[in-house]
Order: sequence, then structure tokens, then C-alpha cells
Amino acid sequence: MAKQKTVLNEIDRGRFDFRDTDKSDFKTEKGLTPDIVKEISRIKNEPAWMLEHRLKSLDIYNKVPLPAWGPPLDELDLNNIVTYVKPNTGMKSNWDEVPDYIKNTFDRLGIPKAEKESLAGVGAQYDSEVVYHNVRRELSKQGVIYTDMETAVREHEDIVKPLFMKLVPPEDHKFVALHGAVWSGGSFVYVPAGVKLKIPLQSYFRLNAPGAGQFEHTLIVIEPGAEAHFIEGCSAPKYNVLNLHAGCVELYVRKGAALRYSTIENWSKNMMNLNTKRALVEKDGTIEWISGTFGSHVTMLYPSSILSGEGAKSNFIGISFAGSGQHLDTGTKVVHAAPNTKSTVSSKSISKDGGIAVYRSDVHILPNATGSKSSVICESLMMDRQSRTDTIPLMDIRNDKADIGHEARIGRISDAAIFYLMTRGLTEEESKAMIVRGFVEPVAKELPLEYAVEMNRLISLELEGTIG
Amino acid sequence: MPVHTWNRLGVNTAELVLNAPEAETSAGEAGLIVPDQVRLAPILEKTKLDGFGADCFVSAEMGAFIDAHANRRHFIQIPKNYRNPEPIVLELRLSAQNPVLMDDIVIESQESSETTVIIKYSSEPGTVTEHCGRTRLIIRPGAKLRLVKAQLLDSGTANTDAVEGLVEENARADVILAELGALRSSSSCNLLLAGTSSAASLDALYLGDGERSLDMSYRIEHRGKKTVSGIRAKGILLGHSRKVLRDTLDFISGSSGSKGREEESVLLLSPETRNISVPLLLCGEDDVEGEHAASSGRLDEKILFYLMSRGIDELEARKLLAQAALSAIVENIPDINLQEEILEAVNRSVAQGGR
Repeated sequence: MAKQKTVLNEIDRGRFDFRDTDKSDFKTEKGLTPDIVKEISRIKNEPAWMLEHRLKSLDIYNKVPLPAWGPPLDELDLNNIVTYVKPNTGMKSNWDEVPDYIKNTFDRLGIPKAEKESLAGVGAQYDSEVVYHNVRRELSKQGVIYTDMETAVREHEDIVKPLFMKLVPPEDHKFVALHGAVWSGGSFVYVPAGVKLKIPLQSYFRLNAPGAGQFEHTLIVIEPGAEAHFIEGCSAPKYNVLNLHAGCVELYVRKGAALRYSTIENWSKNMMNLNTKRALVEKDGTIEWISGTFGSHVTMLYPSSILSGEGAKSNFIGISFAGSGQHLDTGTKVVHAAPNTKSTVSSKSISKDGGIAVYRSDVHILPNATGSKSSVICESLMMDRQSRTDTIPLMDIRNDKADIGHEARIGRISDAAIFYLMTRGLTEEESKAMIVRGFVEPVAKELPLEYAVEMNRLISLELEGTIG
Repeated sequence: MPVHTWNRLGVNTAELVLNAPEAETSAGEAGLIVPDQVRLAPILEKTKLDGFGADCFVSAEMGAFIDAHANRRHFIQIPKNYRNPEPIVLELRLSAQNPVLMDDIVIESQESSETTVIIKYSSEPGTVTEHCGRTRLIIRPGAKLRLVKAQLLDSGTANTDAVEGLVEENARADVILAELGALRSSSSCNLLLAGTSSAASLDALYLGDGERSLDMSYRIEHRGKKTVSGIRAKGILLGHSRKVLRDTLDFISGSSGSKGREEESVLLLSPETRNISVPLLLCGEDDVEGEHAASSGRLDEKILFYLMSRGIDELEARKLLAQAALSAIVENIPDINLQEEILEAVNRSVAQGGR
């Protein structure tokens, strides 16, 4: 009997691919010029230092070439991207005040419901601006700040200005420079020392306008001994023109603090997702990255941790799913810059129907990182030979008293494992579904329940075939 | 590298130093042990080695250089069905009188033959010398070739070396590379498993001490079906040495049923070394199994303590453990004298503290 292959259905995007009619209040011209940058800054009523920062970033952007490695980016033409789209509403703190068509969007995505049931605070961004932000009163009383980035720039300049784009400077690469020039929206979180948030904060980013870019900036400061969980969700409907996402996330985890940063990115397949995320972790601090990448046409995403204080830790768990027309280049970077720091990385990918999944990492052990440990495990599942999976890790070790381990595996679903499960009474379809669910389980179990359920729903399986 | 990564890491390309000699230079004498049945042509016949496709490797740029400047060329043809456990040996030595060696060696193992070739490079102590060499292997259907290349050049040498191999149906290549000398060494090995059920293993051992710089690029490309490969690299770094090792398993679409494994372990015996590992796993075929593992660490203090508690002094204990780190590969070298020479080089380096 001919061997039939497992068929893995395309990710169910029905919930995300709806579009609202473009009712934006204002859009900049396509392209990127100093005048566009100044216009964005004027609309936001920013302090002078921010405009100066934007113009400096633009200058850097114009000088830095595209990266000569990674997925091809030649489809991207900034002259055809609208960098700023203002929805016809200001920011609200009550869902009832948000325009219906925007509220309906977030209703369909489950955000207001989630806020009521399980979140400490929510930010919702629609195109280039935050349209809703709210944080539970009891947290505000404890000194927790959770607001949109523009408000933070104006009202918390003492905290924001010294930190804004210092961890991820515009010189880092071309798309960070672009972000520095045209950033808009995003969230600012400040958790005072000793405050432990028991339930998560969430920001959701929805890009609706075709041919537009979203450049939100997230800045989180967790003071000594504090703890928080931040969830970021992203989606956009599918169009025939390219959209661009070049967000930036800067996380400061102070001494003894802990931050979990969870992301489910489900951009549509016309999206170029070129995001930059970095955390600076001080003594005995912990950063946990939980990252699910399911959408986009091209993604380049490498959440990074700099372990600058003794005993700092970084844990990264990620999964990516590359289907037809997708090239997902994801991974992580860790710099061990202090003694007795620890990092773990667990990354999984699935590729099918010509999708390309690349895992790329960089672990640095600096000379003073005595006693540090790092463990990297990477597993890739390929569903057919049209697809591709590449693993490109690097370890740079400059201390002889550090222990580093890395392992990776590629392959397909094992016939022997399927056979074994079938001998235990499961059908072939059930066996394969169990194996794939088991494959993604380490990520799913780290998410709050409703997101784990959502992630499993994103990966729906239709299995057929026999062992032959 | 076959696939590039972040430019700032400085590993995408190997550093090559190709100094064209001002005038023709003599390669000097060589020790050759070649059985009568094996054909040794003193001048290289232009053997075409098409199909490598590895323009991302050291050998691609070196190819033109070697073609132009080689001062020692050997074509070694092992005849069909030839089987002899005694190895073919080439001992190539640089000296003050012959400080430049550029060798171009082609080894063709014809059908169903089995043999071992050992190529050893050494140089007079205290001399400034230069070696640039290329060894190409053509392993015909059913043949087995074991190639051992040992680089024991003095610390005044610059070394550049490339091995390329084409492995045809049901054939097997076992390559052992030992990098133990030279101040700067840039070496590569690229094996193409072109035929169905072909196999290759690449064992590499290296020792970095003093101010040595080692740059190694190893790749096995699975092109045929049911091909099997293994890359195993073991190294010791001391002193202020620096090492980059890129090892790649590349499963091309169509190589169904293939399996490959790569592993590297590095023993660091000095806080001043720099150890960079880039183990790539590239896959365009779903019906394969590929895995890699890399680890880096120090001497296990508990084992050291145990040996010392048995009356072995600390230096001897360190030498024993350093030897043990490489022994799994050293034991496979079919030349006792060469094994001892390698272990002695390790002992000497450990005793000198890697200076």
C-alpha cells in the first residue's frame, strides 16, 4: 500500500482575516522623508528630544544597507509603505467609548472578554495609535503604570527619556533605525519595587490599513523584587500589498525582579515582520520569553537577553509554524556578561507546503562570566520535502569555567512512534495528532490557558494515511 | 559558510592567507610509501572534479591559487578491488631550505578498493614556513578510503588546507584530520555524498595553544538517497588560542532515507582562549534524520581530584585527562607512531601551560 503523508491543514486564519473599511482620520504620504517624520512628531505633540531622536534615526536608516543574510527582503519597498495611519478616535479607557467598528474588531479577537476575565490591564492598538488602555485601579494604587507610549513620553519623561532606545539603539540595524524614525503607539509598563502582579497585562496590536506599517514601541521597567507577566498579541487581515511591522521591545529587569514576556504573532501572509526585542537583566533577575510565530510572509525575530548581573537568568521557549509562502527566520541571542548566569533555550519549528523555518541563535559567554551555564535545544519537524528547515546556531565562549551545551534535531514524524501508539489502540490520525500536540506542548503549557487553547486551535490537524 | 549569519559575528567567511611565492619554489623531499599496485603519477593529470558546487568554501578560492602555484602534485590511483591494510604514506616536510609547500593531491579509489592514505605535514623547528594544500578524493562505487591528514607544523608556519571528496554509490570515505601545529591554520573539508547509500565520516581533532589561531570549516552534503554521515570534532584550547569551527550537515532535497549526526566537544584549559562553534544543520528533505550536539567545558575537578588521590601528580593527571578528551579519535589513526606523536604534542602543550 502506498505510504500516504500526514497532511497538516493550513493555519485557520478565519478569525483574523476580516477587514474593516479604512476609516482612518489621517495618513502620511507613502514613503519616508524628514517631512513625514516631522509630521508624525507634530501630531503627537512630542518634546523636542524625541523629534531630534527621530531625525537622527532617519539619517541612520538612510545610510545603513539591508542585511546581507537571512530571508530576502527585496520585495520590501519603503516608498510604498504608509508609515503612519491615525484611526478616527482618541485613546479611551472604556470600551463603550471606542468607535463600534474598532470595538467590534477587538470583540472578535476576544480582547474585551479576556480583560474582564483574566487580565490586570489591556492596551489595544489599531493601526498606528493606541485606541484603548486600561489598568485595574488596585494596581494603579500600588504605583503600577501601564499606559500608551506617547503618554509615557509626555508624562513620565524622567523614566522614559534615559531608557528610550538605549537598549536597542537606532544604530543596531536598518529596521531599528526605521522604527526610531517613525515609531508610534505601543505600551509603557512600570512596576515599582516589590510589587508582584499576579495576573497578566496584555497589549494587542491590530494593523488594518493595507500597505501600512506598524511601529509600536514597548518599554517595560520591572523594579527590584517586582514581578510581572506581559502578553503581546498581533494580527492583521490579508491584503495583496505588503504591510510592514518593525516594532521594538525594550525590557529592563532590575535586581531580583522577574518578567515573563509572551507573544503570539499571527500576522497575515502579506506582512513583513522585522521586530526587535531585547531585555537587560540585572543581578538575580529573570526574563522568560514565550514566543509563538505563526503568521507573516517574512519574519526576522530574535528576542535577546543581556545577563548583566551576577545570577541573572534567561529562559526562552519558542515555536514557529511556516506554511506556504512563509519564510520565518527566528531564534534568540543571549549574552552572559556576569558570573553564574544561566540561560536555557528551547525552540521548535514546523514547516510544510514549501514553508521555510530557520532557527538562528547566538550565545556569548564573556570573559567575566565565570560559572555560567547555557543549554540550547532546537527541534524541527518537516512535513514534506517542499519545505525547508535550517538551524544556524553560534556559540562564542571566552571563559573556561562555563558550561555550554547545544543540541538540535530535524526530521519528520517517526513511523515507529506512530506504530507504537497504534498498537496501543489509537488510530493513525489520533497518533499523529498526539505526537504533534506533544511536540508543541512545551510552549502551550507556558501560556495562560486561553492562549494555549488558541494556539492549539491555530494548528488544526487533518490526518490521513496508513503505515506501509 | 553555506548560509550566512549575523555579519558582526565575523564567521561567515574564513580568513585566507594566500601568498604567491615570488619565484618557483621547490617543495623539497618527501617520504612516500606507495605499494607497487598503486599508481603514483608525479605530475597531476587534469582530473575533473565536477559537481562539488561548494563555492562557499575555502577550496573554491584556493583552487585557482593551487592550480597556479602548486610545487608538489600527486595523482594516486588505487586500482579496482585493491585491498591492503598497509597504508599509503606521504610525509611532507618543510625546512629552511624549502620553506614553501603548495601541494595538490588527487586520490582516486577505483571500484571496490579499500585502502588508507596518511598524509603528514611537519616543519623544522624555528623556521618560518608556509603550507597551502588541496587534497581531492574521488571514491568510486563500492570503494572505501580512509584518509588521515595530520598537520604537525611548527609554530612559525602559516597553514591553509582543503580536502574535497566525491563519494559515489555504496562507497565510503572516512577522513581523520588532526590540526596540531602552525601559528595560523585555515582548513576545510567538504564531502559530497553523491551516490545512493554512500557514507562518510569526518573525525577532526585540534589543539590550540600559545597565540595560535584555528579556522576550520567542515561540511558533508547529502545528495544521494540513504546516505549516512557523521562529523565528530574534539579539541583542546589553551594559552591565548582562538578557534572557529563551522560544521555543516546539508540534506539536499531528494536525499530521502539519509541520516547524519555531528558533534563537537571542546576542553578549555585556559581563561584566555576564545572558542567559537557554528554547527549548522540544513535540510531540504523531510525523510531524513539529522542531529547535532556541541558542548564546551573544563576539566572535571572531581575526576582530577580522584586521579590525584590515587597518587598521580596534578600535571600528569591533567595530561591524562587532556589525552582522554581526544583519545576516541586518536585511537582510529592506523599508525602507532603518529598516535604517539599527537599525544606527545598534547602532553607538551599541557606541561607548558599552553604557552
